[in-house]
Amino acid sequence: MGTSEDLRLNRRRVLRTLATGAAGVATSPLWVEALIALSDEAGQIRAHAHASQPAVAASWTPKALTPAQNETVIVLTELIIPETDTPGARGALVNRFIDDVLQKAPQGERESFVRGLGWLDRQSRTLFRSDFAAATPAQQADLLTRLSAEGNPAREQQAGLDFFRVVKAMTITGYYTTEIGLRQELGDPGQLYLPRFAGCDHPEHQA
Amino acid sequence: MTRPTRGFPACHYCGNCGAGCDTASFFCSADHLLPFAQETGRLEIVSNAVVARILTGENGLARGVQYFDRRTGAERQVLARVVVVGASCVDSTRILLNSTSAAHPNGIGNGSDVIGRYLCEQIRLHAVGYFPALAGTPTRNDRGIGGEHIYMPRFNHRPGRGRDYLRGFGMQFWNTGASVSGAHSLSATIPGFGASLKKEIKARHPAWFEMHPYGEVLPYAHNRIMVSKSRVDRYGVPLPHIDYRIGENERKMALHMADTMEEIVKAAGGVLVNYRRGLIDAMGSAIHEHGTCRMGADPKRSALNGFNQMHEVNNVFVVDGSAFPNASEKNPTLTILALAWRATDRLAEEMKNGNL
Repeated sequence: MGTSEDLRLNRRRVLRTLATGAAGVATSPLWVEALIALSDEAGQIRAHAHASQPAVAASWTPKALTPAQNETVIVLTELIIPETDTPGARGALVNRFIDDVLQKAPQGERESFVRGLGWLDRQSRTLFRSDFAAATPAQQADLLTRLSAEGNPAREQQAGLDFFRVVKAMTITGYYTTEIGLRQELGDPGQLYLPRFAGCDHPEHQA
Repeated sequence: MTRPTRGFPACHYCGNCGAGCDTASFFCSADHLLPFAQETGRLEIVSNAVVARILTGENGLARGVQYFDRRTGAERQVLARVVVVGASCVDSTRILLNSTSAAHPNGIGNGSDVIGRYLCEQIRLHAVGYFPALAGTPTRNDRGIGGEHIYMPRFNHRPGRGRDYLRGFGMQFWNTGASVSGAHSLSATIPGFGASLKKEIKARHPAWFEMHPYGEVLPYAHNRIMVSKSRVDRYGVPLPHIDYRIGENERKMALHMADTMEEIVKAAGGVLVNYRRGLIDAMGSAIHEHGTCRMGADPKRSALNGFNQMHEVNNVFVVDGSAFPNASEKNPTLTILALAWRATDRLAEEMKNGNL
């Protein structure tokens, strides 16, 4: 992960993105665009760091989220990018990435994200009488299908749609900037992320 | 470098230039200029020195610079026979405008009031999308040197290709093929979730593209960099204040840019994602600022002569993009370098001849 200075620097990019209005849906609130841009940048930084330090710590505790919120994030991200013939978001530890980004994000954005998790649980309790993480996979998928639906949402759904947009973007960024996502799943050589360029070994290109 | 240069081999075309070149076959000053200058024993590099002002003597000539040590905040000076300014357009302009004195109440060398004016920053549009024909094909290592890979030069000077505006634009194609940024920021626009989303992301990974036309903005006196009357940096030095807007000519050009992008995408069978016609990237996105200390033959209408030397203060040279009288639609670094090289050749000559 980058330093907080990296992320601060990239707030400029957020503002630029907002100024152009280019990256997204015009109706997205500021915190949505801000968190997506922050995670985008953190993903790039991490992909570089990952190449030089692929090992991850076995013991880890969330810092921005509570253990229960972290569990919800694990379930939610795995639903977005599941295990197939390659590991999914859970295997790629996307929850840690999200926790890292949230930790470095401004307080307002972090709180908005946590409110989104709360919205998800409330919605799940209304529909299924169960917190989201404890609902059945079919119920979880049902809820996410509602959040993925095209068209004009009901007003009370908007908070959920905003949250889902953030979580989905962060999951995708967090997943596809790992060894698992980039190399195993996409088959990308990941040459932009080599820890160091060993040099060209073509005999005809040597001095 | 396409040929061996200064003891470094020719390009092997096998690296990621953006991360630095293992054989120094990619021209950069740290490999190709500074070490040779250091070998003379007559170069001292002062890092972390934030220059605030050019100091002037009673004769109105420059006598050195005032700077602040970025780590300690300490104020220091370097005295010099000649000052060469190359802090990039915005900051060079700020330094010049902040260098006020009895001889130069409007900023050093700015009796003409052109310094700070005629800011030319290119206008930029962008479009992103994918080619369905490439979806599902194997990921290819075709990202290019790290950034733009294909360049489409300006074409509107060709017969039948012009429109009702002056000057023109070129276009850069980024992240063609396998795109890491495509894999995340754009993939989130694919609907749905789960295994089908994962499959679709993989299918599109080798198929993304980005297009970025860059267009020339005409030099307008009202587009200008000033120094703030109220806001200062942590050393107490006034910050720049920038007024910038594009005009009718640029709006017409932007429409031509959009038409061109759409025409290319249509002809190539691409699909645009999140495209909003008519949207211009935020001013400053091109990061190619020029024009605020322009060269010219007439001292009333320009700040520098044809050798980047100030008309009014002959021992100050300004060698970055601010010296350009207009921006062009192209990336300026190599031209800046060539002009700077030429200016310093002239400087050496003038010093040898005892004129400086």
